[in-house]
Amino acid sequence: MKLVFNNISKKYKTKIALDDFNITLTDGIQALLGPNGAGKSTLMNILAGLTKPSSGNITLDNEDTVKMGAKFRGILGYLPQNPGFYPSFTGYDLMKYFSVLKGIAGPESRIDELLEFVNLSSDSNRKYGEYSGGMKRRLGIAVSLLNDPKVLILDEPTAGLDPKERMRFRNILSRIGRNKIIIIATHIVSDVETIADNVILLKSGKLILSGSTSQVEEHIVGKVWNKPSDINEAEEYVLLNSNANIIKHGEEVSLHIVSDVKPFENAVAAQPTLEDVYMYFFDEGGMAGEKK
Amino acid sequence: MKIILYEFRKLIYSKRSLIIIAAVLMQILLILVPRNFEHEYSDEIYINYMKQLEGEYTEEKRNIILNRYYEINQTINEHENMITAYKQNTILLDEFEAHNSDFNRALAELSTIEYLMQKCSYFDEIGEGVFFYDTPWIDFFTNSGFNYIVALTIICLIIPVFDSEYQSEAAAMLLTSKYGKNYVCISKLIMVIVLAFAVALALYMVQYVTFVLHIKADHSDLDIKNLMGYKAFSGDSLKQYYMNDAVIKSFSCAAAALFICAVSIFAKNTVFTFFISFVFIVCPYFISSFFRGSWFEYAFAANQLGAMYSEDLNIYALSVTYILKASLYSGFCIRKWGKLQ
Repeated sequence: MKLVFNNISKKYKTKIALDDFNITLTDGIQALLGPNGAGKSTLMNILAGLTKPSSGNITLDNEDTVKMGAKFRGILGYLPQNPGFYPSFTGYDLMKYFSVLKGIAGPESRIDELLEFVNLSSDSNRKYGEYSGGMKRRLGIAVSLLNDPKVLILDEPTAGLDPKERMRFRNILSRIGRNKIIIIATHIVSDVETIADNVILLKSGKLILSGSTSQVEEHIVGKVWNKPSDINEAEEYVLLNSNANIIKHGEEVSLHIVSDVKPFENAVAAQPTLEDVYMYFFDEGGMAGEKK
Repeated sequence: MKIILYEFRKLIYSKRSLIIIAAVLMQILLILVPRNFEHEYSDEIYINYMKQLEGEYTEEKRNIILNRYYEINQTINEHENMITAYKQNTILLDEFEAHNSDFNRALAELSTIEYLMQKCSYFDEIGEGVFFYDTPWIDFFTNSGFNYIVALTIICLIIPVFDSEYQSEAAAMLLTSKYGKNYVCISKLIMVIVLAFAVALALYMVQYVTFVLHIKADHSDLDIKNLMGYKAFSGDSLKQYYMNDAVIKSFSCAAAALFICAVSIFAKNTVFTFFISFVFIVCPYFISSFFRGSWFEYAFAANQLGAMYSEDLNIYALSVTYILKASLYSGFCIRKWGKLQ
């Protein structure tokens, strides 16, 4: 499958949310990274058909997704940031309701399978309003998987979840399957670092960089540094510089700095991580570069 | 069909059901709370006359009224003479007091007997009639006023149909499913029409049943032509006239409900939707007197929520208006529902 974004732009009266976005996506987990206001949700809404782009189009295997209409929605799964289901419905009721909306005949076995998959079988008869944040999000993923979608969009799926729930979510995503295009829009790098096949960096509506995790990390080789330090010096430095954070290994403290130039004489080059990539391109201090 | 049932279930759950329960209680209270309406006659005297005259209008009863009318007028006319006679001592005090008592009673009964005379003329005109204590029915039909309870109930029940999807962000999940656009929208609109009609009709039925039980009326099967001014509806019983009116008002509520849906989809804001719905549903009734011609009555469906329907009402024209409006509002809803931004 090939999902192609052709010159997608979205302009509002006073703001350009997306600026000439072009990319081709294939099967696998696509991590769409960017800070708040980067245009991630706008891009997801355009793909999901919830809003029209000002210009450009999206094609799936050379078919315009807007013109596909219900056919595209039939293979689409979408989990918005705040799903907003109905509190008086039980989890099972919600699954049944959405299976009707998705045109799934005889959905009972599919519903049972998905509830088991997201570990909600024992809570399926409780009302949605009684679910915890993590349970709500897991039910959301189950609903979005009802029609076994070929394109799955997850908008900030782990926002507000505790670490245990986030790990559970990553495990679910890993098990979903590889013959899908799964797009995860997030600003929490650690949630996609180990599972993403492709990383897309978006800033101020523009595509900055895309590639596999190792490819994007390659871009900042020689720009990530570690410097041994004491806690007071480290805290003072971090207060004044947003491009650094403190790493503690037992009693040892070191500064981890993302910088184009070597910041200290005794700083040593470190292996970049996706977190460093995010900090490099989206640091407010201006470390971020644009796609050349 | 399944989608319609789910939409109904989404709307009517425990808390929203309280709106309907509250509306029912308010409708009952509206009937039970005593209200004093002005009449051109004395109701207490009228009740006594009706006990005496109740039943078919006959020549004998007509003569009773006529004779009493002449007696009253005679008593009133001779009052000045009696005063003069008493002053001149040509009559005794006892006789004068007796006359005075008759005079006061005559004055008190005058308006009522004049009303009964009008009624006799009316029955003569239509060729037949039945005397019965009809004051409660006249008050019920002519003093109903704009039914705020029904209007507010419909507004409060219907606003969440689309609004709740936007506020809870469930709209995104619905609109990205295969049947989430047109099917869901059409299902909601069908549910809205059925619900608005059913709730409005139920509230009007509650009002009627409460009224009938309260006045212990057993005249509901009488022809409405027995009420003065209602001969145009001859053939319908009192009950039938009210039912016809309730059905017209319920269809008006259904049309108004579609308007509310259209505003809700346009505004995507609860307060704004409530304000606009309230203004366009309630206000036209109160400004209709400033507009000449019956076109205004058809332009705003909720105008029918006020007084009982008149003989001038063209049911066919009203039906066409409602169908056109329903089509317009529904088309707007289906077109705009799929557009979140």
